[in-house]
Amino acid sequence: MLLTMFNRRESPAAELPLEDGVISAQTLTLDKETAVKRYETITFGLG
Amino acid sequence: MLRVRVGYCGGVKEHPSYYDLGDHTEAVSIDFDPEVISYEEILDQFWDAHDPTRNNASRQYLHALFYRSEAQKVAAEESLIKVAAKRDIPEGKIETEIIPIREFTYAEDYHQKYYLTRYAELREFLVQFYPDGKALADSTVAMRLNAYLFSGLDKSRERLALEIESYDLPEDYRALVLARV
Repeated sequence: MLLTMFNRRESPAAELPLEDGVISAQTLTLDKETAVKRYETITFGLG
Repeated sequence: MLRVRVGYCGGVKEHPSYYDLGDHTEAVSIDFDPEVISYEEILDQFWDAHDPTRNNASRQYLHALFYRSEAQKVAAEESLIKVAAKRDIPEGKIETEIIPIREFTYAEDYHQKYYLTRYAELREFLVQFYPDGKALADSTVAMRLNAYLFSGLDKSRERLALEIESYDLPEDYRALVLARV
């Protein structure tokens, strides 16, 4: 069920945006490809 | 993984910095493709990467999960219950904190893509493609290069060979990276 909840999000994610909502690294080919992919963000600290 | 950056979060101090962190914690923020790996699978790796029965007294170096939504909070709490059961310990013995992210502040540029700093010319080449340090921190290319050049990672030279074209590196830098993986 949780997986379904997370998979609903579209990129650029409205619910889980990057901190400023903009992916500015879009010049190189791989950056351009990943900038349009759906994504989620996980944040953690490991000491 | 699509993008990775390091920064400070979890606290209430405005404009934290490395030398004036206030009540924030040093953290890593990862954008991932949910069709490739799930939030729950990364949570499993998070729990495996530390001892959740111990935490640091300093908030700067906490073991913590920072949630951005109710769904993430629920998933994080469920994962904590699962970890406690797997280790056969009471949930109250888990010291890892699950707290709202509030705001994420990018760490200073010199903290981002740390292993690339050992390859100054390559880093200088990349910098020209990004308007600022934050954009470089959000680069998939820089993230992949940083990971491949970090000797401690489980690296796949075959995978790198397949995707290095998409990094748009000149031939000499391409050869340098391939030679080190």
